[in-house]
Amino acid sequence: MSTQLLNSQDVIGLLLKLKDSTPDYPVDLLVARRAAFLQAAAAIHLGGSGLSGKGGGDGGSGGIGGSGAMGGMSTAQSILLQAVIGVWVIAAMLTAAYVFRDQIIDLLQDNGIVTVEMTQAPSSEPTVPATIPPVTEVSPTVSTPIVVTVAPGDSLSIEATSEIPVPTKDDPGLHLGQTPGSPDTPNQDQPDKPDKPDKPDKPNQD
Amino acid sequence: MKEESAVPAAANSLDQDGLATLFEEYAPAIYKYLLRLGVYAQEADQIVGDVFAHLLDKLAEAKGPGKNLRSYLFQIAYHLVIDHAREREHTAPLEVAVCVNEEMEPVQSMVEEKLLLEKLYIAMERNLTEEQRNVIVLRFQEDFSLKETAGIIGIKVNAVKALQNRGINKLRLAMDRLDEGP
Repeated sequence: MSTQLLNSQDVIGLLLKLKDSTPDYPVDLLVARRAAFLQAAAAIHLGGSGLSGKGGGDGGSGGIGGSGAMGGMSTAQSILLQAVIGVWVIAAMLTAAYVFRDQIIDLLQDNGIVTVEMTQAPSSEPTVPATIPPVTEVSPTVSTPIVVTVAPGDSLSIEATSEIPVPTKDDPGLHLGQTPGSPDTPNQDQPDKPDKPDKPDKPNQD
Repeated sequence: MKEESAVPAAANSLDQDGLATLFEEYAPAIYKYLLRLGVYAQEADQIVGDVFAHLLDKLAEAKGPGKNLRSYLFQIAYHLVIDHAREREHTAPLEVAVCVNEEMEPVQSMVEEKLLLEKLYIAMERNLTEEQRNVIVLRFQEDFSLKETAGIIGIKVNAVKALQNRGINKLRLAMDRLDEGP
């Protein structure tokens, strides 16, 4: 047969012959693959997947487990089941917390958690308002001399003498914290000027 | 053309004997189909395993094929081959894909036919697109109907006809060119 004269039917005939020339599945590979397939099928079957196939079959327990995530359940069924289980767990936790609330509070207190109550206990004693007297600036005053004389006739007279010098303009005295500014530094008490913000770097034009 | 194969009830219930029968019937056919598409023997064996693993998963989910199990299995195999082809280029050597039975023919005709088959295989490998090769193999080597082929590849029947005609013409021209030599 020469390929020069080939037409479409010849090509189809050759394709059919090529079909017969394809080698068979090697027996050892086929047997191994078949065993693995049946083993996987048995694992799924023993997993209690509860097959609901079209042929009916032997049903199954419908339990969860087996080789798959949810056996023979569909995805929607498994999601619904997970949601129901989640709601049930949360409801059980809330119920338990309500029933054992006293024990839980005690347990928390025993563990060093201190609760502060803001209630005011009744008291029979009058409460003294803690008032802080306003701070007043005390200016130096000229004291009056006091003379104390104790007479034998239980008479008492007090005479005070002042040895504190009266501040004058030239001698203001030592007043801590009130040191007057010297004439050389007239702006000493003025507040500091705020720092100037740093100038941003000029962009490098290279 | 082979008749549409219904899914055995034993397969749906994962009966061991039914599944064993199913495997023995379809595994060799799928293996040959893969070799015809140019897949290496070792990879073809792995793909056969993947095809039946996929079938088991679907049966366990009660989502197995309702009818025409053969088309269904070939469709899975087709998509797995596409996935493998995307992963890496692979082509089976000629001696793996073409194996002429030497006892059937006299020596002279056997040699001639072997040469022709080799040319045909080379032409299929070099000159056909992936879709054209799939259509040719499914139509003329796996005996699927136009409708079944369209279902496996996922295209319309008219597209299958067009791919088939173009593929045959390409093969004819390519074999003529191979006969003329470089």
